[in-house]
Amino acid sequence: MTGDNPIIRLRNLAMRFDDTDILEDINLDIRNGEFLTLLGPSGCGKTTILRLIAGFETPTAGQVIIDGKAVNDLPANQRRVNTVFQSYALFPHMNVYDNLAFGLRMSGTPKAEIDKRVREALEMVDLKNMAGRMPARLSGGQQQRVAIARAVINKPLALLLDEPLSALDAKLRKRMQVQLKELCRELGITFVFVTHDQEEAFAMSDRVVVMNEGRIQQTGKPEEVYEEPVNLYVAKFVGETCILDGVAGFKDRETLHAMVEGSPCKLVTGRDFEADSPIRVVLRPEDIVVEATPPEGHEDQLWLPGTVRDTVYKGSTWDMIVDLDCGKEVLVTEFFNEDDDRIWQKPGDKVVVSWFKGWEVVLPDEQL
Amino acid sequence: MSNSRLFRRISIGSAAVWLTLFALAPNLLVLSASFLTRDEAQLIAPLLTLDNYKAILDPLFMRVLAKSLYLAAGATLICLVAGYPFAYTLARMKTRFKPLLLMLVMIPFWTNSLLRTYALIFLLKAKGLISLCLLWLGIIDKPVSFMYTETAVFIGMTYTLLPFMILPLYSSVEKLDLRLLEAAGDLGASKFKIFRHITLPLTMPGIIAGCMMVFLPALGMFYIPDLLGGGKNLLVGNFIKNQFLVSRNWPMGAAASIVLTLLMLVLVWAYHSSAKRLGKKTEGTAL
Repeated sequence: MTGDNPIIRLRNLAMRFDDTDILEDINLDIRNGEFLTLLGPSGCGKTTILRLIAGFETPTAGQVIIDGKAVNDLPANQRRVNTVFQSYALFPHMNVYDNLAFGLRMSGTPKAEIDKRVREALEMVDLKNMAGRMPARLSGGQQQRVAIARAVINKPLALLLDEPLSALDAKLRKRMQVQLKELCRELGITFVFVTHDQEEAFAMSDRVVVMNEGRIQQTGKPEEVYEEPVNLYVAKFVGETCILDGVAGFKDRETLHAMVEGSPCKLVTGRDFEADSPIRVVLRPEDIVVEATPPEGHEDQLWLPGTVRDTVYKGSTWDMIVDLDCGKEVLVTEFFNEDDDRIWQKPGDKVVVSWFKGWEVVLPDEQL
Repeated sequence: MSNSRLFRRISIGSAAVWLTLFALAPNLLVLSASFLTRDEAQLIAPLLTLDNYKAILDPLFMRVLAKSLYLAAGATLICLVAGYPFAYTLARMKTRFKPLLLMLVMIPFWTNSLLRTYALIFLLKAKGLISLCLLWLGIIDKPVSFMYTETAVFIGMTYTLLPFMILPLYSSVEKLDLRLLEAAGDLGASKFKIFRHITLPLTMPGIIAGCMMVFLPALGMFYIPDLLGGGKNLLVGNFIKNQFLVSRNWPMGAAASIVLTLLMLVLVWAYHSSAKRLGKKTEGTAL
C-alpha cells in the first residue's frame, strides 16, 4: 500500500435496472497500489461495481472518480483502467502477440516500443514461446496469463479482475493467487479483484469489501473482517461459524453479563447492548475448546455439554463436529500435534465445549 | 446396433440415389451434350466436336460473361451494404420479437420469385407506385419509368437475393461474443476501431458465405434482366436460356452452362482455400 491517496473513489453510487436495486449507496475509496477484493455471493452487485469503474455501465446515481476526475461520462476506451474478464475475452482471431499488442496499437504507440513491451509482458507471464499461438490452442492457465498480460501491458491506473480464477482447477488457482499478489506488488498497480470465494479473497487482499444485496457490509483488512465481523451476515459469509443465542444482561466495562444457551456467562465485547435484548455469540472453529470435563481453574467459564458426532483428520488440523445438547452443531478445528499426549475424542464421546476467553464476537440479533 | 446401421444405410443410400438421378445424371448429360453437334431436326447429333467451346471464346459471349460478373458483383455489394446493418441490428436486439422479425425476412421466400419480379414492374413502370409518389411529392414533374434500365436489374436482383445475404450474416453476428467488443473498448479502441478490428474479422465467415450465396445465383438469374432489364442487360443465364429455347442450339447452351459451372466451382474453391489460408496465416505470424 502506497499512501492513503485514493486512486478510485465511488461516491453514493446507485444502480437500478428494471425497477430492481442492483447497487445502493456505495461509498468506497480504493487506495493507490492496494489489492482490494470485492467479496460477496453471486448477484450481490460486485461485478456491477467493476463494470461501473471500467465504464461498461452508467450509474443511475452517484459518481465514479478516477485519479481525481469524475468519469461518469467518459466511455470505457478513454478510462485508464483495464479489465481481466472472467471468460478472458481473448480475441480468437489474433495470436498471443497481437492480443497483447492490441491496447498499445490503439493508443498509437510506436512499433519498436510495442515490440519491446510485448516481449517484456510475455516474459513476465512466462509465455515467451507462445507469441505465435492462437488463444484456442492455449490451456486455461495460459489464456488466463495472456488476459492479465494484455491488461497490464497498458500500464493502467488500476487493474479490474472479474473472478479471473474461477475457471481454473484448485491447484492452478492457488498458484495464480500467489502470482497475482506478487504482480500487484511488483507493478505497483492497484488491483480490484472480484470473487465469491472467501479463502481466495483473504489469501490475496490488502483489504476486503464484503457485499450483500447491493450494499457494502464491511470494509477492512482480512483479519479485521474475519475476527471482528460487524454483523451476522459478514460473520456467516466469511468462514465457518458457530452461533450461540443469548440475552444481554448488564455491562461492566468490557464485560457483558449475559445468558447464553440458557446459562449465565461473561462475554468480552466493546459493543453496548440494552438489557434483555437478544444477542448472538459468534465463534470460529479455532476459537473453540473441547474437553472431557471442565478443567480446573476454568470452572467459571460456560461449558456447554455435547456429543462428538464425527472427526476429520486433515493433516495439519484435526476437525471435529460436536452436537451440543442445546441442539446446536459446532465445528471445531484443532491444530494437530503428533507429540501432544492429549486424548483425542472419538465419535460418541461425551464432551464439554467452551472457547478461549475474549475470542468470541458478540453481535445484536438481527433476525437474518 | 444393426437397426441404426440399417437406418444409416437407408438414409444415406436414398440421398445418394436422389443426387445421382437428379443432379449427377443431368449434369453428365449436359457435359456430353456440350461436346456434340447441333442438329436441326433432333436438336443434338451424335458427332463429337469442340466447336461449341470455340464459339464460346467469341467476344460476344465474353462480353455477356463480363456483364454478368459486373451485375452479379454489383448486386452482391448492394446486398452486403444493405444487409449488414440490418442483420447486425436484428441479431443485437434484445426483444422477444426477434424470431418474428427474422420470419419477416423469410416470408418473401414463400412467394414464387418470378411473381415477385412481376410485382416489381408495378412499382418501377412509368405509371408505377414510385413514379406516382415522386410526382405527388413534386420531385419530378412528369412520370418517370425505371423499367428496362440497369438500375431496375439491380433493384430486382437485390430484392430477390437480400435474404440470402441477411441470414448468414445474422447467424455470424449472433455468435459474436459481446465481451470481446467490451474488451476491445476497455483496451482503448473507439467504436469504429472495434468494428474494424473485432466485429468485421469475426463476422467475415458470414460475409463471405452471404456473398457466395448472392453472387453465385445472381450469375444465372436470367428472368430478372429479361423482365426488368428488357433483355438489354444479358446475363450468362439469359445466354444459356436463349441457346436452349430461342436459337435451339442445345450443344452451345450446354457448353455455356459448363463454363458457368466451372466458374462457380473455381469461386467456391477459392473461397475454401482462402478460408483455410486465413486460419493458417493467423497462426504463424508475428514471430
